[in-house]
Amino acid sequence: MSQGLELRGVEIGYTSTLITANLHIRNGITVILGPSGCGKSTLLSTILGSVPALGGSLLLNDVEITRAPIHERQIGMVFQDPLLFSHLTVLENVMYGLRRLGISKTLAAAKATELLEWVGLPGYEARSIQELSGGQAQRVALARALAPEPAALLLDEPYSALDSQLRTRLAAEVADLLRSRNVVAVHVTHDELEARSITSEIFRVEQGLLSRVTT
Amino acid sequence: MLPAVFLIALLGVPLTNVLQRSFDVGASFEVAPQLSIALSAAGQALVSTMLATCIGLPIAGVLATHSFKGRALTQALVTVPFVLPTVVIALAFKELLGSAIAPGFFLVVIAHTYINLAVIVRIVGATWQQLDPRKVTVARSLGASPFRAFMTVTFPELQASIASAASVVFVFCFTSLGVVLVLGNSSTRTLESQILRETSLLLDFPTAAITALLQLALVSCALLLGARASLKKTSAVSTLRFSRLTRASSKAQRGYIFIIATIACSFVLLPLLSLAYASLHNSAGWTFEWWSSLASVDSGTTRLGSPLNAIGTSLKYAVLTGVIAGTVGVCAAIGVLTHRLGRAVALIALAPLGISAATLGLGLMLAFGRPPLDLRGSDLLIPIAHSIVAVPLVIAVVLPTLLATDRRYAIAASSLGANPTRAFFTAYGPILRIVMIAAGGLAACVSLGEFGAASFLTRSSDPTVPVQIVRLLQRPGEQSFGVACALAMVLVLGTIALVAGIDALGKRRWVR
Repeated sequence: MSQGLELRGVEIGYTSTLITANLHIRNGITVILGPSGCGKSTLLSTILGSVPALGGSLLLNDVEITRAPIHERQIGMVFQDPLLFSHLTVLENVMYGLRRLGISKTLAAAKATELLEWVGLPGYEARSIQELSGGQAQRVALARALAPEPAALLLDEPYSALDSQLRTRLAAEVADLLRSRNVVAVHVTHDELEARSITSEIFRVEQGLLSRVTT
Repeated sequence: MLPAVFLIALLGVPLTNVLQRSFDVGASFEVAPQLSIALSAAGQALVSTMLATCIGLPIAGVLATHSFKGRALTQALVTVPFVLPTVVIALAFKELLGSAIAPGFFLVVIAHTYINLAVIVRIVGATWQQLDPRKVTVARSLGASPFRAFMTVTFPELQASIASAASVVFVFCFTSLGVVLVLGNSSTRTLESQILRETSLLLDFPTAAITALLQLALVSCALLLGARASLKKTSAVSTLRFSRLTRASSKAQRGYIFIIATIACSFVLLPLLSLAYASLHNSAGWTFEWWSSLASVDSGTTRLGSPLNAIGTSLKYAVLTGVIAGTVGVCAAIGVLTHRLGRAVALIALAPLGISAATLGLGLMLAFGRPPLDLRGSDLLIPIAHSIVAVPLVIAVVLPTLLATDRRYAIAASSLGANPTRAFFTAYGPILRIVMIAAGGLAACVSLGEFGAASFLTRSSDPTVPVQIVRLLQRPGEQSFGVACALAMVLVLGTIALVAGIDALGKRRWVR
């Protein structure tokens, strides 16, 4: 039985292979470092399922998910932009994934309220998305992604729009929060300082391969 | 203020002329028949609108979000029916389905769906193109199936533009004339056909005026509902992603795109192919006779002028209409965003939708077709009429796009020292360039296909193409019908070229 997220020779790219990934994340957070355009966001999209793998196989908790549709993979994602649904309130955004699981409105609201407290936004339930700051919106996006309790979470430079001080603080805070919930996470960034503030499990994209960064 | 002055002067004055001459209603007038016709027309328009929306939405989605071989051609084809003369489309459907389906409700609804597909695809597609596709990916990652993700994320963001497009389609179907006359029966009459009947057959102008007022009131209600929904900004789109088209990433997606594009092209092409067949066929078999007659004043076109001259006339009017309606429509849309009376201007600009083209043509003829202000010799009367018809469409295209643009860019520019005008163009300039080209092109297309107003205003020696076609169709005989079909095919081909040109130009400008 192989727990966690496993990439076995997964070929990543749109028409030609940018990265061939071999990686096994059993628990905690792993950071992928690399310059812009090296294919690290495409790597996350491939794990998520929005870009098909050109080859290889993807396993999540020992289940092959290479060809599974996005909504059946149980993988959450937080993008560079919060991408909150602007026609929904803060609470409704967090409830979205819970409602898709068939959880009743009352229970979903209770759990979403709890998650908002957990990300440090108690009392924000009824607010509209337009009332949030960048950092607050990104916290709501994180709560929304974690609400349906995904088996893995992908973070695609989620703090790049924030200033460096807030970015480093939020990255460390969120890493602690994820560890406390025992979530397997892949965090992509080009900022080495940010990477080191999150974890010691760091991989770098080099010549189309993932190589471990020794610390 | 330019749109308000333009519309009040060129719409208000003609309408006053018509109403002054036709308010003298007699004591024998009964409103019940008019209400009965209005009810049945509303039912027909509702079904047509729903069908056009259901077929148009998947096509709009595929064209707005995916890059695939034949996309530009599909987009151009879908737009073509809207700009063709309704009488020509009605004849094409009669040729295609007339032997299998009796004239009536079904044929009328199918033809209306065909004509109005472009309104849904263009208006909704323009908004769809700006939505961030990653939001759907987020919804999918949270467990939503593709359909659920569409219903809970994409659809709410499209609601404003769907409401705007649907209200326009409803009004077009509710005030339909050509299709109803050719494909309808006594149960599918509209108030528009009733006005025509009252003015041309019964010569009862007071009753026709009351019918027109009733139609105006009902249409205004429909438009107000649509405008209210479209002005309600449902989305603060923070990241505009113009023409960010994605390639299909799976076999299922490729299959879906292929099926939708094939259905769209087949639905559009079948009646046109039937028309093409008629233009190349006579009772003896295949022939080029009707096409070779286009440059001639013979072959059944005597006294009507050369069909080639009609093409030149239509092109001239189309260019003028594109410039006038594009400028007035975009100014009105900007007014909604920037002026405190902007919404009132938008409502005035939408008023022509409720006024039938025939009433407009008659009004303009009465107001500006005789001294002291006789514009008949100036080549401006028909472009003015066509612009009044096209301005609401231009606003319907431009306004949702401007509303979806993030106002904070203007605020940011102001905070950097830009004056209000500079700040506005910093925020909206790039998108304005695209929508002005699209709006002008759409208005030109409307002009090419418009028949109602032109039939009142055109000079007998200098008709537009649709007027020329109808004149030919009114003459008995295979020859007239064949030449009309060939002329209609010229309009079809010219329109495809125009729409594809607008699309290509818009893309090139944006890349620069």
